[in-house]
Amino acid sequence: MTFRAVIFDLYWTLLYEEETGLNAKAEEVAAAVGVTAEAWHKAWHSTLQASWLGDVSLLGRVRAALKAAGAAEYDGALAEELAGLMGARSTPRLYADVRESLAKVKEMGFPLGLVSNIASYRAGWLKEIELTRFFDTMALSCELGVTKPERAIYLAAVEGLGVKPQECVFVDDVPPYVQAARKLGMATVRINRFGSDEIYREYYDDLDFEADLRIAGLGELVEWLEARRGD
Amino acid sequence: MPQAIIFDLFYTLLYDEGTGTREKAMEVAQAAGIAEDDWRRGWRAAGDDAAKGNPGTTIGRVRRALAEVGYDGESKRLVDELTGLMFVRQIPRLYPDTRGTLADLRGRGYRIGLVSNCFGNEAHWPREFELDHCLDAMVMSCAVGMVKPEPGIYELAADQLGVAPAECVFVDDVPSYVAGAMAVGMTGVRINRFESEEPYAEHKEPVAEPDLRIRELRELVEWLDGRRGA
Repeated sequence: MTFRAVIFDLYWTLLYEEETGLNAKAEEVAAAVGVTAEAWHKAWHSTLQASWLGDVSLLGRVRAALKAAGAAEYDGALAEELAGLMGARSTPRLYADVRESLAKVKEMGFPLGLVSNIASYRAGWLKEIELTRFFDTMALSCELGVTKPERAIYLAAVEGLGVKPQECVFVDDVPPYVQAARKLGMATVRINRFGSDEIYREYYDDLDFEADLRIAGLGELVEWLEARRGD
Repeated sequence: MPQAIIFDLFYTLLYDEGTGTREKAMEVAQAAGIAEDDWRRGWRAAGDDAAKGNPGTTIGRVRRALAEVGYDGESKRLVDELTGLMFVRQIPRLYPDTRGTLADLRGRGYRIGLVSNCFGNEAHWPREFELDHCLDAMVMSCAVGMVKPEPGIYELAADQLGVAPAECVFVDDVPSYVAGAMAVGMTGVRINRFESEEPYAEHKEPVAEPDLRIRELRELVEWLDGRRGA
């Protein structure tokens, strides 16, 4: 099968988040309404899916997390402050190989797609760091109301690219997201930027899943695509 | 009789609080051999058209700022690092009377609009902080390619609200932006949330006297109620 398009995941594939130091401040604000740092982060995490689905605003997510953490009464200004801090607690950083590799893959004639589980308040990043210009189509969970590993989000990207799933190469770091793409018939590439599977082992049982290629950086993807083109 | 009230965003409905990353960016620039004052000047100069969406992105503004100060290094890493830091340089804080006033005005039947000169990294704030729930129209300069005090941006807001400019009351803290609204026929209200005019020292060009001067939004509601009763 000849590949006709390449679809990328965003987080930990193309970019990582760098802490800005505001997390500690957010913890202080949560502590003021009797929520421990641990309880706050657990509650924040419990609202992740709703945030990805675009069901809540940043402020709405903070309110939901405060509720989940058992904080019943608080000032509206406190929730707003917390929202500001959580929104700015990290900032996007592209991996060093991203711009060059995406440009190379594009030069090889592949249209590019992005499939990301992302909150609406993070989606603005893509434009601000000029990542959007590389992509011919972007399937963002907060806009579509559907997340990986559901089929619909992959199919939205495939449709946007005007190709069949079997003609796509899909690159992601998360095991179930790679496996879901494989089920749809895509060629799959597992990327792991961390040098070991230790962090993934905390969240996922099956790390010996099948993938057509396993890489540590995008340079390897470019070489692999080039070699296959030569066949 | 006014049918719609249009608000400015910054220092009218909210203010911004520094996150500390602006200072970190300064250190990064210094480490790359750019003097503090130069970086500040370059960043400012690069922002002249940024509210108009030119450059429309934080990274574009960083690149322009570096060019402005004559930085000729080819460091993509520096650009990315500065971009990351400047992107989260501030977070919004709503004034305590903002939500209540918008709700009160809506309750009185006014249509509510927003006209903001803002940068791309701030354009999502009204939605993420749920100000949009109280708004019938939102005109962000970076999205429409026009800035206050250009007549077009005020007219666009009135148009989106479905009213004539003469039926609008426009509230802003910047004197020339209030004057811009009055020039298209709106009623102009100048708000100053500060203790003095000092923060506005650089806006000293003479402009039309506003129809009303206020310190907080409560005064606007009272004034509107008074006019309605009259």
